[in-house]
Amino acid sequence: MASIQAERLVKRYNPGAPPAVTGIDFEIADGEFVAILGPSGCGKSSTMRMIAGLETITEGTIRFDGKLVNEVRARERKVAMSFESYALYPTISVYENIAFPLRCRGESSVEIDRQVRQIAETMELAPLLGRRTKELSSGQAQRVGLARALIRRPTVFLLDEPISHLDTRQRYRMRQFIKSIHRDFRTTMIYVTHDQEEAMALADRIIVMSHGDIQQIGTPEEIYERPVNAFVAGFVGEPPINFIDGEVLVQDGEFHFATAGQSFLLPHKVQATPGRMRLAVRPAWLSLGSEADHHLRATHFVTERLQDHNILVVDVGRTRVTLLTDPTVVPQDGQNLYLRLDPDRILLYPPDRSQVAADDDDS
Amino acid sequence: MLQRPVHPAFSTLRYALILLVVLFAAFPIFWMILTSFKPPGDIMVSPPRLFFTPTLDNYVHAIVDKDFLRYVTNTLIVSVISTLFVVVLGSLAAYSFARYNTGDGHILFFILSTKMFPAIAVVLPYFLIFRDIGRTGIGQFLQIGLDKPGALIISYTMFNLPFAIWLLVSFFQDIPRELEDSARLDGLSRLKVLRKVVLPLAAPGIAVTAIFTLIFCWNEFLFAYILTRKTWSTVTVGVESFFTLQGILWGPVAAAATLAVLPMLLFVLAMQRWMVRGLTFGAVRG
Amino acid sequence: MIELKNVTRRFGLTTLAIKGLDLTVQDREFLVLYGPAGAGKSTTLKMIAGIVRPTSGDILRDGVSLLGVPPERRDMAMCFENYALYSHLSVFENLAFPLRARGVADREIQAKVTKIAETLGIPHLLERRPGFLSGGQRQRVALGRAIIRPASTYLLDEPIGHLDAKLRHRMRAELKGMARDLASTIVLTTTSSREALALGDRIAVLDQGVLQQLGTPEEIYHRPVNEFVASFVGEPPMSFLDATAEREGGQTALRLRSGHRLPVGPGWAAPLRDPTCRLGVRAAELSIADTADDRHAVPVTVDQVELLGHVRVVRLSLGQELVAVVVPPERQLAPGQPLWLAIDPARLHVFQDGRAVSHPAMPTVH
Repeated sequence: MASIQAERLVKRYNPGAPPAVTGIDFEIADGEFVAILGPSGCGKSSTMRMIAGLETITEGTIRFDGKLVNEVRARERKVAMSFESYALYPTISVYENIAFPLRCRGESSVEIDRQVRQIAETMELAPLLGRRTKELSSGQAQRVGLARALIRRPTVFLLDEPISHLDTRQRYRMRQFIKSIHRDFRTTMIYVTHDQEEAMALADRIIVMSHGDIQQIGTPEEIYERPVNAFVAGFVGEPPINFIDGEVLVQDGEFHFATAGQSFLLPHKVQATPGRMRLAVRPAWLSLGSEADHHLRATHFVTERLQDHNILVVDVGRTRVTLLTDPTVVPQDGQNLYLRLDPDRILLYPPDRSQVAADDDDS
Repeated sequence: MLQRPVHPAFSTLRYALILLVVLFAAFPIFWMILTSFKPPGDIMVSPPRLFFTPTLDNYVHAIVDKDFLRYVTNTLIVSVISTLFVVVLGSLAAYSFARYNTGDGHILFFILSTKMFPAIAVVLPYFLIFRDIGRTGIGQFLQIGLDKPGALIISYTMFNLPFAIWLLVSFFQDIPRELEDSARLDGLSRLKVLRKVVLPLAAPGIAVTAIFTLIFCWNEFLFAYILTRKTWSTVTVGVESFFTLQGILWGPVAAAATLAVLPMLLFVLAMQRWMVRGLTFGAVRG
Repeated sequence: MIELKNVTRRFGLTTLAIKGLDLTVQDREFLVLYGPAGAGKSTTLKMIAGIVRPTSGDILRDGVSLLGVPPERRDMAMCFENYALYSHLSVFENLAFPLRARGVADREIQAKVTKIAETLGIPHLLERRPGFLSGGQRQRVALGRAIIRPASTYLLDEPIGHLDAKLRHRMRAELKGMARDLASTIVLTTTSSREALALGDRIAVLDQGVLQQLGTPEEIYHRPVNEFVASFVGEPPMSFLDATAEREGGQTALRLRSGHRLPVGPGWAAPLRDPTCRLGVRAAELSIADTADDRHAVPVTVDQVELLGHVRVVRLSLGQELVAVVVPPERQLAPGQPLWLAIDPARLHVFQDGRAVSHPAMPTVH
């Protein structure tokens, strides 16, 4: 068990190049489950590798329980790590894979057997112990990887994207499983991912990173409801948040938002300044209104019928906007629709200057 | 990875070691070139002389009296044609092994196993075969016979093919199958797929194979020594001819050897980029 | 119309990738092949394309066998899961490749490539080689190359599976819009339930080389033929509870493994062969309350809570079993918290020996 404090943490790989991590501060409480979320190249993996001791710290400090660990070697930090690629040894059995860290420490074989069987029981791996790792499904291989990492009873457990590329059902199962591990072992867990859904579903708190810097730290609710900037707003949420570029105008002392040849009155509580702005609204915060009572006019593009709810994709001017509706709502192609915003949930951000948004994808 | 600053003493030591290895490898070549410019009196003196009046006499002797450039031309013709054969036949065979698993690995193994014979074991049968073919009309027409280029080209092709196929198979295996499938769906015939997709992608690998084959053919001695007499001798045999009954003409030997080495040296230097690319082939994928 | 008739495909002697598959792809339909890894989705697609030959069985187009027709003459376009981009050509040339192969004029190529690059959001990458692109960018090039030329059938093997959430969403809508405009047959594979439901006119659910069910998204979602389809379609996955049917004075009740009794109305008439069965229930069909009432009569405790943005998925433990429920994100719940669960017998799917024996009534769609 350990809490972690990072101060002014910097990682620079080449003296000339911009740093991968640009002086970040965060604290992780003992037993907490924290996700570090961001697109590839945002510095999340460098941060994790510094915590693990696999990477030297260029500047700043990392403390475990208040004790400086900058100079402590990886194997002495009692940190376990599970890799995306499982990193199992193919030539030996599941049992031997799990036992491997204990054998390395020279534990007695009686003790090893006891611990392997115990962890296999908790992780539903008991029937697989005799198998070779190449005979496992990807989900099973991941569980073995986790078991091997956990058997050392680490004080901090780092997970590097362990459930990308699984199918829908396996992802739910795996999430359920990781959560139960956290509950049973009460280890401080850090989960590094580019998948916002995993971060939201699993973590007590999320650290959102981009370009080597922390954008926001908060609970999933805070990150989802009150993203501090357009990057966080756009990165978190499925379906993704809608951005509508427009202009805030003052008419008769009130703020209006104008876009695509139409405008509507902004609620009083929205903090606005006149000029070009980006309005951000989540698909779940939009609803269909009537011609008499609406904020924005739109034309229907496509409807995705997910059976328990529908996703309507509509065009407001040239901007594509999505909203969630009941499964019973099925508009015609090209039909005119009237959108209503939730007055309590309107986010405004400064206008977007760069066009990098489309490039932030990951494999 | 933990990166630590290197102590200056270590870095000095490292360069000293590198220098030592380079000296060890390059000294014979350096000495050969030096000797080729020495007048006869300066060659065999002890201690060796680094400073002397350079002369071109050795080159004149080698080129004019011994007609050494003919050997270079012979070698060039034989090596280039052999290399072409090896690359064309090898690519087709390797593609078939890589893509269709032709012969389920058995044929590939058989071909590789021919590499296990020492050259000396096959050179005598070759001698007899080529002597007999050379006496037939077809043998004379195709220039296959003793002291004829065809005999050398066939031997070199035979001897280099196994290694070339083995090298090329792995290059072809590295090309994802879907690339070809996709091109076929786009409407290309099999042959066109080979030309437009497979060959450009395998080009670095084929180039590496060609370079290795060419170097081998150029430096080959045993076959050339046994299968040629005078007209079609290659550079290696040509150099050997300076070892006369009257004694070894060290100056002209060095000049001839320099002439023999020079084309390959320039060629490899020019192809260096390709060789590195070919050897790290497959880095860009997925 | 493309028909697969009793198609089997083996790889080597032991691996049976496809077992006796019968599948019909209608003209101009969007068919989704949906299943877990190793289900045989890609193999099916490649057999339609003609890249992989069926070991036995026949593949027909409009009643004529396609088996003798090489892929280059099938008039099909395919997008490969591993992208299959030509690393020696620029992105522009990769996109232009299918057009050049058909001798399309340069000017037209220029126009078409520019347009498709625009749609896929990659116009700034046209001069680059594939080796310098990220995975998501490569995938978009691969998709663009598949759809750039007119074809009778488009075969798309997980064309948007490796994109990040934001792009995947955008591309999904684009794909759906494109499908409407193309008026061609599209067969797409995916491992995502959302993608299958969102895109398909019909969905073929495959598992271990066997077709489990073929039907519209409504049929697959509301009338799954077996437990596999039921658990694999829809998010969060359907929960299952073991139960035993009990009869008492003309009244039927279901006894859950937790011991709880669930009286079912007289309208409930699942044709059970024996009393033990498994109940399948969708997360959206369940409701929870803090206190017990007539409907909320099953005591449960909160096991885990996941926020998924617009909904919160709650896993409740009911004895030894787990049940997933969705609640609005405003609802705050903590693990260990006791709650009362309402299970409406009219909304239960009933399974025996893995096969469905009864379904709840279909919801009506206006």
